[in-house]
Amino acid sequence: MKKKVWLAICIFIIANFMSGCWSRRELNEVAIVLGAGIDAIDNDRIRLTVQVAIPMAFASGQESMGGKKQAASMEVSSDGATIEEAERYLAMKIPREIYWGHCVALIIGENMAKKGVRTITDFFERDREPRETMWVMVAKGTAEDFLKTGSILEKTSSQAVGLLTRMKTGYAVKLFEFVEMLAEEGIQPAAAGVRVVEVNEASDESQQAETGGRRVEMAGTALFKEDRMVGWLDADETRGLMWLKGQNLKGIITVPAPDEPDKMVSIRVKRNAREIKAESVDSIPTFKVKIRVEGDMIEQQSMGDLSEPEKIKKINDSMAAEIRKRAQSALRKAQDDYGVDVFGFGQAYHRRFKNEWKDIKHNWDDKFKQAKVEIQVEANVREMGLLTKRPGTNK
Amino acid sequence: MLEKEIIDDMQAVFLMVNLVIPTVLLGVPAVTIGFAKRDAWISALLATAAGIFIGRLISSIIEKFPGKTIFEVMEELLGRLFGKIAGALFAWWILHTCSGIAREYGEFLEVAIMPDTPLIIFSVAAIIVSAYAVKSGFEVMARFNILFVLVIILFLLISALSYANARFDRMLPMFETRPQDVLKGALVPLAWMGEIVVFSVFSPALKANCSIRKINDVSVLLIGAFFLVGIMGVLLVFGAEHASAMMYPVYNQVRIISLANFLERLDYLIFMSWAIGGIIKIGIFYFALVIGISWLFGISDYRPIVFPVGIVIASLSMFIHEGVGDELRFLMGTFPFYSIIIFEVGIPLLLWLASIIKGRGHGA
Repeated sequence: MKKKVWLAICIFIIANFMSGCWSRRELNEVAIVLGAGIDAIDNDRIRLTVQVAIPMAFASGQESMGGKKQAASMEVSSDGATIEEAERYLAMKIPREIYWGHCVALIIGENMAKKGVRTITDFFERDREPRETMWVMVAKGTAEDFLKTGSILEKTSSQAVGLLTRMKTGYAVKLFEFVEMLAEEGIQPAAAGVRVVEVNEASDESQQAETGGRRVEMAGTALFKEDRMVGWLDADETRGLMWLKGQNLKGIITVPAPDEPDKMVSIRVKRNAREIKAESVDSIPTFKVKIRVEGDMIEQQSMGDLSEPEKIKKINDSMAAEIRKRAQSALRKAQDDYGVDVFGFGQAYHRRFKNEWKDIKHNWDDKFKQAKVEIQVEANVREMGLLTKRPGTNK
Repeated sequence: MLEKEIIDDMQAVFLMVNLVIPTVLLGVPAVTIGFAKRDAWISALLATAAGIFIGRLISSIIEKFPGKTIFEVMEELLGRLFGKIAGALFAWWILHTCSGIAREYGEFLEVAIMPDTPLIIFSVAAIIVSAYAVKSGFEVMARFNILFVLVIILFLLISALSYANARFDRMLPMFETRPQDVLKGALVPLAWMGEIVVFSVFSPALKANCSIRKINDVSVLLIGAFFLVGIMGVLLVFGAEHASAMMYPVYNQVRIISLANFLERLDYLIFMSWAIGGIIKIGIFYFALVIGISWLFGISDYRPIVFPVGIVIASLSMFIHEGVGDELRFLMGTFPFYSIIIFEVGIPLLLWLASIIKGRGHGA
């Protein structure tokens, strides 16, 4: 009997606690941040812009029901000396608790990037809510403006850039990778560039009105020296950067057809890898970079039968030349124009010559300017799609 | 005290591994990498080698006195007065470490998921569960500890899933760190591995014919292997500079797992492991402490003092450190020397010498 009474008391006590958790937050009590933008303003203060999801817009399946489409997000900005301070001011404008767990992208305004980003990455790593996997991007112009731009296909600009990076057509970097590049010696950080462009192409006028005739897109790469941005690579050079960094790239390489040079052949890149071998010739750092690329031919304009091994070899060669050209243009820009080693050649040198590295690591970027880099590309076409040759080739 | 409780060898190994693993995996990799940078794996190997030495030292004493706890061995070898003093010191160390673990247990949960919950709630919750396990007896504890296999499977799963983020050149160049820094990096995990001396309290529960030395060796090797896997995972995913700045790098390692855009946000795996592993670790220390205190005061049955001791552990865990800065300083700076010199090597060495001088037992 006594045992039963105890049991009843226990059940009663436990039942009281089972009804909910301490510090729980229901979905309708939080404001979910999708993207955060940070701009530098006067007096060393920063402006934090958050793009907050409006759950109603996500919940309703038929958005156009009842005529006007509801905006999927709202953007709110506030200023502060630190990000947290700015967030507290935001809390005065957003009636819900700010939740960072779904933040896809950290957009840094160009001004902020030029002033130095070391002061702002800490919060996103230290706090438990933001994920280390968010994308770090530098916006041409202000981050605030970027976040306020809508997207037609996706609901918000943050999701749009998040998905764009996933396409792997441009250089993209996650927060933890970015921080590692900032922290390690022998490599300088690079981050994806994004921008807002005016568009007139939207056929539907209502769509035009919705997004203000503007759209977000990927725009090359921002290069950093330590934590300050020093310059941009354009889209083509960004490809070169990705080849040289061995970053997974899903792109198309278009080369002239071996039989008819005025017609083109397109190859879709499937795999790429790079290997850096450091050497020291007369105490000048010299690097041999080997880039390996594999791709499938997916389009042919010419009429010849390209399945012949010699022709494939020719395609391989022109593919390699194309890749080499891109890689070299990126290298030239980084090495000569900006003098920053965003490729990690310093790390390769460090791996090979750990004793010499101690003497040169402090002015590695100067040393890198004199470094010689040889780029060797090995490109291979593997598959040819669903056709072996063009119908009517032997007519 | 443990006369009727008998555990088999495998249970003993599992208990011993879990006596060390949970906190060593969560907190120590960052410290070791902080000292030894890319050569942290050497530190891990050194710590394991030294851990085997500690394991052998303690087993060589225990094996001479079958059926006696380390406290009773102390009394036998050092005499009544000095035996009690050494035993009291040892019990204090267990109490101190146990409340430290209880605090770490709560601190991780508070920092990582429940910032608004008071720290004491976690400590008290863990201690209530452990108290129940301690009261139920050592055999129950050993069986409950089989859940630990789940922790290990989860940990290995996490390490395997992180492979996509790993880059092996983060280990290069090798042998760059100065030897003294590698040694410093080995000291902290060694202090944790040395915690296996706590298990000598439970030696009466081991089977009569088992080889304690073998159990210790296997346990230390397993602990070393898991620690090595943990430290390499963190190093290969984040690189030395980034990893050494983290509070709980294995947790970060889990957070960034993202496979095929759907297998992500696996944080809960860590919390599951921590909930199980942490409570068991607290439980084993708690048990050892209860046995120690009842020996100290000559209490024949340890059960009545379980709850009072639990209250002491919980309250000590609250004021043992002022904050995390103080705690880090202690765990990384003071604790290794304090534990290794006095309790993990010092007292066992003293006992070993005493056993040789007294010529007691066989083999001396």
